[in-house]
This record gives sequence, structure tokens and C-alpha cells, in this order.
Amino acid sequence: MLSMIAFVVLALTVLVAAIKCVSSRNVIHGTYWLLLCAVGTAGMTWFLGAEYLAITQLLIYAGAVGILTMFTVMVTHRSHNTASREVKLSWSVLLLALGFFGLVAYGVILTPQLAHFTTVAEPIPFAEFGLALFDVNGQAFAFEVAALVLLVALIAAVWWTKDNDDDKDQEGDHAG
Amino acid sequence: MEITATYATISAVPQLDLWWVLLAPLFPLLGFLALALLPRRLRNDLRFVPVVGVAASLAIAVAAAITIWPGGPINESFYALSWSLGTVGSLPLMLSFSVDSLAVIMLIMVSLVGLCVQVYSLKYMKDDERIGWFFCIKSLFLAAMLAFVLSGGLLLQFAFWEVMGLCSWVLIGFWYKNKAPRKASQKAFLFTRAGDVGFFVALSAVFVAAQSFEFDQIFATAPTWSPFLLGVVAFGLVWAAIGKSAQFPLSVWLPDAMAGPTPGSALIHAATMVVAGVFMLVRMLPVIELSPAAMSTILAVGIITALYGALLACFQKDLKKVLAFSTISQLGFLFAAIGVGSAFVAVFHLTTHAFFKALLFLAAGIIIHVTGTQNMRKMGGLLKRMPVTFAVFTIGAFALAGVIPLAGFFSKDEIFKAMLYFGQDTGQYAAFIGVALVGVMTAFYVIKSWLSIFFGKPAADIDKVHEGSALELAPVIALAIPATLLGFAVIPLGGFLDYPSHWPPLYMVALSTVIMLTGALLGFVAYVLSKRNAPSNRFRFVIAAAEQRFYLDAFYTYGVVKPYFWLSKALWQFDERVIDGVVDAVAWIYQKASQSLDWLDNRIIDGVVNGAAWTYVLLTRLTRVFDVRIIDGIVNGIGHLSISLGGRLRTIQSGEVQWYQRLVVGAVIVVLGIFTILYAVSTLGGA
Amino acid sequence: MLVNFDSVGLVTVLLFAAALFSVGLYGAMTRKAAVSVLMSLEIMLFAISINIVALAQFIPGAQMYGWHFSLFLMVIGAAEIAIGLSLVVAIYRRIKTSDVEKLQVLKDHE
Repeated sequence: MLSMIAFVVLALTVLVAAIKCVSSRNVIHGTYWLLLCAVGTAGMTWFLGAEYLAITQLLIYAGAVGILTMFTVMVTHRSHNTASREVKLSWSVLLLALGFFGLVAYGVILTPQLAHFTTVAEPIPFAEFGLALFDVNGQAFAFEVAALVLLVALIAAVWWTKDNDDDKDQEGDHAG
Repeated sequence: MEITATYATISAVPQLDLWWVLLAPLFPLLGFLALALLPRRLRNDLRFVPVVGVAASLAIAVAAAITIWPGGPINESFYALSWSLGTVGSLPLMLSFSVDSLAVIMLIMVSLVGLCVQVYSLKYMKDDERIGWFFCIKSLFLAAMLAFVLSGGLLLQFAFWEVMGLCSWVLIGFWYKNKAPRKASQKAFLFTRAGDVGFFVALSAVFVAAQSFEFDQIFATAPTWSPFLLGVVAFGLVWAAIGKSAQFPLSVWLPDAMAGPTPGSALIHAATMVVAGVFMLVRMLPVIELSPAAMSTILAVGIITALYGALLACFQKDLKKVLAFSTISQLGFLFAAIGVGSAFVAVFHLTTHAFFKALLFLAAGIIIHVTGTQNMRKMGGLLKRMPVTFAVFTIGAFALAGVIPLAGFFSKDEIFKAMLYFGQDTGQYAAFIGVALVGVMTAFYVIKSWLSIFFGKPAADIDKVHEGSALELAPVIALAIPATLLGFAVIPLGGFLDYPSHWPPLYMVALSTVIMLTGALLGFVAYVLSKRNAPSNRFRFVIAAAEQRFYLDAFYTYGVVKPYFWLSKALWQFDERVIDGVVDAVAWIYQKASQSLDWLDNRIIDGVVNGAAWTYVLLTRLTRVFDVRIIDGIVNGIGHLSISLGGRLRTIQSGEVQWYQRLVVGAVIVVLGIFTILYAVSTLGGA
Repeated sequence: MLVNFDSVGLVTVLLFAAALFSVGLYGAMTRKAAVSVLMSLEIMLFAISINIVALAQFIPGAQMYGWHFSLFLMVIGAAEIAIGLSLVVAIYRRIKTSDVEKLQVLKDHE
């Protein structure tokens, strides 16, 4: 049995942080709200009983991704007048987003089987989870693929951000 | 129910533990991986690493040939390694490598040509600032080609086929800062891609028909396939090979591919990659043979391509272009040989052609380097200046022309023989006359080019011309050895592939020598005439047509590319003019309608007002106010709405990413909504 | 009663995740700065992550797979954000802005 009060507090924190993040005029403030949102997400994961995943999420989402986002903001929005901008509420998009939520919520509520699941499982011990991760008959292949994906992403990110002279030539050719 | 891969073929050849043959593609791959991630300068310094890698592959290939001596039939593997990637539905998805006699011959050919080209490039490309990358890509290409010939299934073959296409694209566009190589690489990529569609279709059909991609299972089940699936597979594969091997009508990319560095052309666009299509057809011959229509298509395509390529080669002034068209024409020979079902003949000519064509390209590279031009009219009298190059180029050229006793003579003889004896009463003479004509033309352009490069009046700056360096000449000489002697191996080579090959009978020797001499004599006359006076006007239109490559490129430009642009532009204009126009027109009509309503209101109601008594004046005034304010307001409002709606609709095409995003989300919501409603209805109905 | 107010069930968490996802969706479609769009994508990713963890924890027998899947998702998310942010930087280098509304190369031009 999970406490409703803790859930509501966490959920409200995350939702408010997310709404502030997408609605803040200043991009840098948005980054801070995103950090709070990430921490709240990790808290939600912990609350659901997946402690190992919560720690990992804290490390990756709040740590790595947050810092990376902040760096990018710093690089691309050096002056204040580009960092903050008008935010107008777009009714049509709000309608789309609400429509999406409504449909999904309707689907969730419409599926009666989901209501039977009310208790969470005990967390998997760290050792067992780690062993399964490296088990050849288990998830070792997926783990390898994940590592490969990360490596490729890393190389691609370095490639894109690298300041190479070739780009300028190509740009000139495009114009010509 | 569990389904496991079954190997229906009971192999007639001994099973050996040849796991080490699979190291042959691994070494060039390691060469690529070792260099690819290094910084440019270090990579340039370490360029010998891929050379060592391909040398190791050659050693492995030779050792494999010695181990499996005396060989066995094509497609009967001495060793197979397969593993399962998982299951697709209930079918296992297998990947496998297998070693058979054909694969071993290809291994030797590819690694030997590859080694020669790599050694040659050490000197030839040494001034290029990206030489390390050049070696890297060629190493990756060699790894892919070696793995391609060792593949034991169609899926793996397709994977390496694509890697080769990628390497080819990089190599053609190696000097990507110039416009021509960039265009040529895109052209090559798109045209081979057009062929790959066929491969993909064939792959799908094979999995449906055989429930596996493994060759063993494909061959075992092929006779039971439905005619439709068989046709799809056969024609899909033929189309794929047409694209990869630059056959008519997808041949136009190969001449342009000569914009890449010459060693790359020698390796990929003459000796190895373009024969991948032919190799794949030889591999799949047991399936394709079951479809006589596909076989006839291969034969027809081969002969048309051979004629087309040879005819165009006769009119080229550019040395590399002559070699490119000659390659197209020789690949047509290979197709023709497959079309009559002679796998051995195709493989034999493929091998000899790889050696002498690589030799010709490398020798041409030396000549182009020292003379600084590719135009043969600006060459001449090089014989005294570069005797060694002359000697090796002569071997290659004569082998191409089919001079006895060089390698090309024997393999071409086999093709003539195969055409003459393939047993269809009507087709055989047509086929034979076709290849004989190609033989004449081949000798013609070879002798003409050979004479104009090495003989005659020297060009103006002949003093600067000197012999190529030892590092460049050594691999060319190494290639000259098989180009000279391989023909004598026709009987052991046939034995290795389990094919009863014989020495050419005397009348065939006489026949093909007559064909060759005819061409050579005509070439000599053409050379003398071209030296004596300008080409006569009578053939001007032929030459003009040939310079346009018989309008095949123009056909693609005006038949495919331009119409596509026209179509898309027309659609865009339709979008812009018609749809927006309709919206605007509706708005305009509304405006006009409201204006005229207003006018009618004024006239009629005013008329009524004027004709009525003054007691009604106040009432009618009030009515008019109502009309102007309310009714006109509504009508005008609709007009304005239409205009603003038109503006809104126009922004759909704005190119703004977030507009598209909103459209996508909207579409998702609609789909989701439909499903939800269906689900709700079904649950309510069930309840 | 579908939503039990005494304790948190799977339905409640799924509804919360859907709400979070919708917030991210709104942001991705309205924000003009490319970085903000990517941040909105991150919020959507958080929602998916919570969704999967909830399914793994609540449904018996799904726990181990769910955890692995969640871990895999985190890897993909990190890779996506790394590529996305580097693209933003590259675009900024090229055209000196990172506004998505200024990126109109898909628009027809003569």
C-alpha cells in the first residue's frame, strides 16, 4: 500500500515543475525547472519501489542531461535578450495536448483489468539485477547494444559540434 | 512447435575445420577500425597497416586453396559456421558463413588485386592530405567484399553488399570539394540503390518461399516454390545485379564513377565490386536457372550491354573512360555467360578480367600521372620514355583484346564457345554473332588506344615524362603475371570448381584469332586515318551520338529526373494556386455577394421607403440600420472568415517544424480516438 | 471505483504519467527555442519512464523485464538528448540562431 499523500505531493511537484519548465519565459529558468522535474521523476521511481532505477535516473537525468542542457543554453543563448522571450498561450495546441490526455486517460480508465493492480512488488536486489544484466542468456545482448548506441551517439555528438572547415566549403557550394 | 534450420543438402565434399578462413575479412576490418578513429595525421602515418591486413588475407586465401585442393562443386561448402540471431515469429533468423571452392577463388582474386592496389596507392596517393582515409575506406571495402563472398546466406550477403555500396560512394566522392566527383558519387549511389530495391524484394520473397535466408535451404526448397515467388526472386536478383554490375539500362553510373581516384577505380569499379552482382548471380544460379525467362533476360541484357559498352569505348578520347566502357562491356560478357548457364565460364572470365583490368587501370594511372592528362590525343610517343609501363600495359591491353596466349584469350574463347553451344536453335547464332562483334570492337578500341598512347609523334612536353616509380610499377608487374599465365590454368581451375574444362579446340583458336585480328586491323587503320586527317563528316552523327552515350543519360535526365521535378513543381503550384485560389475565390465571392446584397438592400429598401408615406420613414430607417449592421455584418463576417481561413491553410505549408508537429499530433489523436471509440463500442457490445 | 483514493494503484500513476506527457507535448509544439523543445522532449521521456517503472512494479512477473527496459530507455534518452543538443549547437554555429521557427528549409523556395 502506497501512501496517497506522498504520491500527491510528488506528482504535484513534478507536474508544476514541468508546467513551469514549458512556460517560463527565460530558457535558463526553464532548465532549473527541468532539473526539479527530473529529481521529482527519480523520486517517483523511488516511491514506486525501483530504488536502483531511481538512483540511475538521478544520475543520468538530473546529473548528466541537466548539465548538458545548461551548457547548451550557455553556448547558444549568450545574451539575455535571446534567452528570454514572449510566451503566449496557444489555445489550439492546448486543445491538442488536452485531447491527447483525455484520450489516453479515457483508454486507461476504460481498461478494467488495470484497476486490479494495486500493490507493488518488492525491489529486485542489486546483485540479482546486475547479474541478470550481464547474463548471456538474459539481457547481455541488449546491454551491449545499448553501449554501442551510446558510443555512436557520443561520436555523432562530437562530430556535429566539432568546428570543421569543411562545413564552410559546403555552405559556399550550396549558395553557388 | 519448434522449427529448426535443416540442412537438406548432403555435401559431397569433405568437412574440414576451416574456421581460420573467416579471419580473411577480419584482418582488413581490423585495419579499418585501427585507423578510422585516429586523428588525420596519425592515420596518414599509419597507412601501411591496412596493407599488412590485406596481405594477411591473401596468405589465408592461398592457404585455404591449398587445404581444400582439389576443390569441389560450387555451393557445396567445406565448412559452415552459423548462429541464430533469434526467431522471427516461429522461424529462426540465421546468419552464416560458408567456405566453398568458388568463395576461395574469389578470396584469392580479391585479396591479390586488393594488395596490389593498396601497395600501388602508397606511392600514387602520397601527396593527398587524406591518404589515410583513402586506405581506411579501401580496407573496409575489402573486408566487406571478402565477407560477401564467404556469406552463407542471402541476408548477410545483402548487408555486405550495402557496405560495399557505401564504400563506393565514399571513394567516388573522395575529392568531394570538386563538383564532378560529388555529382558522380550521388549518381552512382542512386543508381545502385535503384538496383538494391530488386534485392530487397527478392529477399522478402525468399523468406516467404524458403522460410530462411540460408543458401542450403533456399536451394533445397527452390524446386517447390510457386512460379510467382520464383519469378519475383529471380527477376529481383537480376535487377539487383544489373544495378551493381552496371548493366544496361542502369549502366550510366560507372563511367562517371571514374571521377574518383584511379586506384579506387581499379579496385572497386573494375575488378571487384562491380563483379559482386555477377558473383551473386553465380551463387544463386540453382534458383535462377529454374526460371527460363530470367535466364533469357540475363543473356539479352548481357549481350546488349556488351555491344553498348564496346561501341561507346570506340569513341572515347579519355583513357579512363575507355577503360570504364570496356569494363561495362566485359561485364556484359559475364552476364551473357551466366545467361547460358555456364557458371564456370563466368567465374573464369571474371577472374582473368579482374587481373588484366586492374593492371590496365593502374598502368593508366601511371600514364595519367606523368603526362598530366587523361586525353589520349595529347599523349603519344611514350614508348621510349616509359618502356616498363609500355610492356605491362601491352600485356593488359592484349589480354583484353584476346591475343593468344594471354589470359583474356582463353577466357574469352570459353565465352565464344559457350555462346556457340548453348543449345537453343534460334538464339545461339544471334548470341554468338553478338559476342563476336563485341570481340571485334574490343580489339579495335584496344589497339587504337594502345597505338595512340605509345606510338606516333610525341606530345610537346614529352621531356618531362619519365618512368613511374618502383613502388608503383611492382604491383602492376605482379598483376601482369596472372594476366599472362592464368589462361593456362583453365584445366586445373575447372577441376577446382568441378567443371570439365578443356583446352580450346583448334578451330575456336582460329576463329577467335580471326575476330581479334579483324578488330586489330580496323583499329590500326582507324589510328592511321585519324593521324592523317580529321575524322570524316560522314560519321559525325555517330560520334555525336556516342559522345552523348547514346542518350541513355539524357533519357534519365529528361525521362525521369526532369519529369519528377515538373511533377513536384506542378503539385506545388496546384497546392499554391488552385487550393489557395479556391479559398481566395470563395472569399472574393462572399465579399462580392455581400456588396451586391448591400446594394440591393439600399436600392430596393430605399425605393420602398421613397414610395411609402412619411409615417413609415422612421420604421424603414430602423430596418435599414438593422440590415447594414446585422445582415451585412454577417455576410461580411463570413467573407473575412474565409480570407483568414485561407491564410491559415496556407501556413500549413510553411515549412515550420512545429506546424508539421502539430499536424502529426492531431493525426495521432484522430487515429487514437477512432481506436478508442472502436474499443469502447466493442467492450460495451460484449458487456 | 476505478481510482482508489485510499492507496495509489496503477491507474493513478498511469493517469499522472499521461498528464506529464501532455505537458511535454504542449511544450514541444509551442516553444520557439530549440533547447526548450528538447527540454519538453525530456519531460515526455520522464513520463514514459514513470509509466514503464509503474507497469513493471505493479504487474506481477514483469518486474525484471521492466527494469531492463527502463534502463535501456534511459540510455536511448541520454543518447537522444546528446545528439539533439549537439545538433542545436551545430545549427547555432551555422545560422547563428536556434529558433525552430527560423528553420524553414522545408519551405518551398524557388
